[in-house]
Amino acid sequence: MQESEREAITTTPWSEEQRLLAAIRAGDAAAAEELVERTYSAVFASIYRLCGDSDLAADLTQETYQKAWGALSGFDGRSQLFTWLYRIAYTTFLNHIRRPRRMTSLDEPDSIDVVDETPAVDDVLVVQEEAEHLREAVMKLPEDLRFTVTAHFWGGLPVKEIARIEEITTVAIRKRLHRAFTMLESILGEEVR
Amino acid sequence: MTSKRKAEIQRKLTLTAVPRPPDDLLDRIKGDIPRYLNVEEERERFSRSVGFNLRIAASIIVMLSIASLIFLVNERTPQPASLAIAETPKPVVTRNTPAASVAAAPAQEEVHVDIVQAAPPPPASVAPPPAGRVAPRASVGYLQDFVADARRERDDEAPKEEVGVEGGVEGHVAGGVVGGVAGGVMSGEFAPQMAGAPAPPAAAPEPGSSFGYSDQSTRAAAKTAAAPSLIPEAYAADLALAPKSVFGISIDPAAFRRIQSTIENGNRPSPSSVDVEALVNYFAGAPVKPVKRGVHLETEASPAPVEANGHRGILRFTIDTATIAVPQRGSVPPIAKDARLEIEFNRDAVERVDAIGDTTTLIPESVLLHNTSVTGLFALNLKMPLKEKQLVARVRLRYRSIEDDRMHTIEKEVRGKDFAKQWPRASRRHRLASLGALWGESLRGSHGGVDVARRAEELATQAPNDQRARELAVAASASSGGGTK
Repeated sequence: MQESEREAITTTPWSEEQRLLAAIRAGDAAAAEELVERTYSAVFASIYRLCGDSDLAADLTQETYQKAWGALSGFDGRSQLFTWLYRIAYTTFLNHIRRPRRMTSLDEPDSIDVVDETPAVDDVLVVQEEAEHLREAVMKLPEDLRFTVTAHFWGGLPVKEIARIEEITTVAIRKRLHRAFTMLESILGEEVR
Repeated sequence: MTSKRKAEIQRKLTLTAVPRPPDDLLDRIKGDIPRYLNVEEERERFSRSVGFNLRIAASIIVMLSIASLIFLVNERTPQPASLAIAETPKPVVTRNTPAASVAAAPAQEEVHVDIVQAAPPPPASVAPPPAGRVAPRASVGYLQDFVADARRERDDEAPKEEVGVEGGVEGHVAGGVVGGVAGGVMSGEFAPQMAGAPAPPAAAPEPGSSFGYSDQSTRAAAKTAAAPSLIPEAYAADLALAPKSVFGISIDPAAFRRIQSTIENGNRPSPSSVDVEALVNYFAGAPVKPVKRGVHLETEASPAPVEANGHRGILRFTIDTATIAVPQRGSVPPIAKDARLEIEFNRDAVERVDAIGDTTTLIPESVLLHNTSVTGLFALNLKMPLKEKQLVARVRLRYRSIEDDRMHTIEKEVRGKDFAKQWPRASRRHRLASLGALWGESLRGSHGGVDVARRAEELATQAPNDQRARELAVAASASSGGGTK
């Protein structure tokens, strides 16, 4: 669902976005609701991939939109609306993990509630563990590489959009991705050893 | 880097599974829209809020005027008002809850009678629990078994004893609330002060006494032996004004006084009358440094205070909300709403979990007040050896702040190393809460009272000014047959 929705978002016609934006800026709550309906599950998915916690992702998604409404007047329309939303979501996540005492630990896998009597399925656990390792590895990347990787793979933003929001060339973005892969391979390789 | 490896990483990055967003998320986000987009509506709400506050202010002014008028009229009568209060027992309560006095009086009597009935008759019989019900077993997991045994025993006795207590309490609470205790709820910390105010002349508060578990209520309870007839009224006032529970955890501030009074009268409290959670909360008390703002979540772990055997531990969580001054008859304002507390245990690290007390399910709080402290404890059987960094438990508190109307999440993790410290290195709050739990369970029939007395005595000796450590040491010693000091 997320994949298809993200696709839909990134291909929303420019004119359609402009119409929504103008309506929201004029205080049209229905237009704002339409925007939320189109984008919230993709924003949630992006944040979930960053934090690995469904409840936290929901809270941060809500916070993302709260910030977005406040910052709407500053949106210049140079990037796509979802790209702009993703940037806010990413910053919201970073702010969250930098907040003292609210940080979700990145060095231990999620615990399992002992009250839950559901039998563990090995395959599911392996997949979860792999995803967690990967998430931890991504979080260890330098900030510019981390943003680029997460925006591209987890936020679904095209290279061109990331370049626009980062105000650098697409070639530079591709170089970032290459460097990120090299580092990820190294980090994941160390963990395996 | 090979292209194959690169493709593998790309695949992993792309194929991360994502759960569906929570069902209520869309509504939550949409719910924020009007507030952020419609400035006019916000202004209107602000105006309404100001108008509401003005109306309240006007009401207060009117009430003060009436009070002044009554005072002036009384001054012109031959007898002073204070003398009239001293002559009758009821007006003391009337002072705080004017309309409730008639309804409250019978309820007080009920509470008194029931507490006395609940205690076993022979004064010297701080005897072992009845045969066949609780058999202390030194070789069995203490922290786990005492919970299970005590629950079993309590269940056996519950029907005949709890009915009376509940009836009495409910009767009085209803009276108190109907009688106009503004807001109907008080925080645990402030309640004793309210309870102290209406006390009869013999236990009357001194001027300038502070908030918190003030000396007033302590003194009133300390005088139990000398003036036992005064106690039920203080209890009744406590019960009427204080909140009974937070997240379903009992924080009844009068629980300890009731037990103390029973013991001082030479009786042993009946197991079913011992509210272990309330004792935990009484001894955990308020934070050493008052919380200035917002909501604070504290977690702490330690080995079990006695018979830890290298693998038994105690996990504590405490939620403290910001402390503010509240007028004596005022209600405590809320600080948060929609508060949810979640606790997860890692089954790789924990073999068995027992919630200490009666609460097995944490209930969400629709409203969380200022001046609130609530503590919960878990007894854990750990899977040894634990790694230092191994996650043992995660405690998560979510709430919507009244101040900014946003959801907040506070999360604390407890790891293996937290259980490795020695018992004396745990905070006083943690140690007192744990010992309070242990003592409560011993009153319900488990063994361990002597150990509690010894540990509490250590605490009291280390800090002679720590009144609660002293109270626990004395009470535990008395109830375990050691006699009060």
